[in-house]
Amino acid sequence: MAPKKVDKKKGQFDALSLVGTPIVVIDRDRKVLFMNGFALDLLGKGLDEVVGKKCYELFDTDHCNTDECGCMQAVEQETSIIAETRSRGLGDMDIKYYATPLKDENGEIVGCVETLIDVTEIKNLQEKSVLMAKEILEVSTPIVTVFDGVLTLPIIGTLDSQRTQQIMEALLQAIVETQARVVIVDITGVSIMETLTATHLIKATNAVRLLGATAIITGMSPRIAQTLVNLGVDLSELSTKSRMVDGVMTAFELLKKKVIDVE
Amino acid sequence: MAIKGKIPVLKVGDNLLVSIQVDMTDEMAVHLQEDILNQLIATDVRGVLIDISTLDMIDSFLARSFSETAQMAATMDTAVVIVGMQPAVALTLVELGLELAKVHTALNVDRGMELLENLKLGSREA
Repeated sequence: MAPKKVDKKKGQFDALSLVGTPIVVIDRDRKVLFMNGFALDLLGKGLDEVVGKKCYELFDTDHCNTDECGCMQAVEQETSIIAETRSRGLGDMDIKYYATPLKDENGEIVGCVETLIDVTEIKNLQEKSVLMAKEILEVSTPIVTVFDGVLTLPIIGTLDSQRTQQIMEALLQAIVETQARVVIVDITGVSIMETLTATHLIKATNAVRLLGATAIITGMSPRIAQTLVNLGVDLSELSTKSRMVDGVMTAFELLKKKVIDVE
Repeated sequence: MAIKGKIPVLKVGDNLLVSIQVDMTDEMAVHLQEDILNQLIATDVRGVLIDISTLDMIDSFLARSFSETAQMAATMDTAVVIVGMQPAVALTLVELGLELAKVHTALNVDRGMELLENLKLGSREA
């Protein structure tokens, strides 16, 4: 679109039209000095419709007209600012923008150059992967009732605080729902057991006990046993068996049940 | 004059039954502890059952109060069983590392009564 009059400032920004993402240039009063073709297309306006208008009257993001405005911060702190926000006006769009102070020939800051990048799709993918990770966590800790009042929980993989929290909540809920008296936590499949993991495991068994159930840990490896001892954990209350089947037999004993041969 | 928000302590057979139905303040916890101990001395009960199924929060003061009650009761050869702890409360207690020393726990009142009888039998044999 041809400018109506030859303006020295406008010529100064022509190169920005070559950059493949929306760019907005504003002065210290946040009035638009220039917008490149991509920014104009975003608004569906012509250049003479936007020059001189306040930027927040044209765009509507969560940062607009607030202290969080990257351009205002860039001008104040005399440095480039990178920020992320959501746009309400142009349909729901997640935006990442770079705000750089605009200087004149004397080095005085006269405005700000704002480069916008649409990160909506990236954010969607990020949210999806978080959801998938959560699902994997849920799927990998099934709580199985092997007998009336006996729950087993085979733990596979690593045990971090977030996962332990999730497992504990699900386990305690299951104890209440099934009125379980014994919980067998099998850790054969736990690959990495650091000090913190052991602490989480102890916490889980303590919580089980507070609900009046007995916790039995099976599948204990020598390394984990060493970690627990080094932690100085009170192992007197902790019931452990090396194999899951031994844990189940102990559970039967606690429930005063016996396995007999049928002739 | 009745103390506002006093938690009733009921004698049932040779057990004391306490059902906490309201949020406990520190003051209430202190009164409850006193009431339980007074009843233990005045009667020949050998077990105390405290139902906390409606409590969705237990702070360190209350946890310590329960422990103290249990320890004092133990000196009088009396068992204390707490029943109905909500999962969220259990999680908080273990997170804070609050130990309920000498306190036995059960899922509900029925199991709690069963446990009390077993404990009494056990201590009689000892």
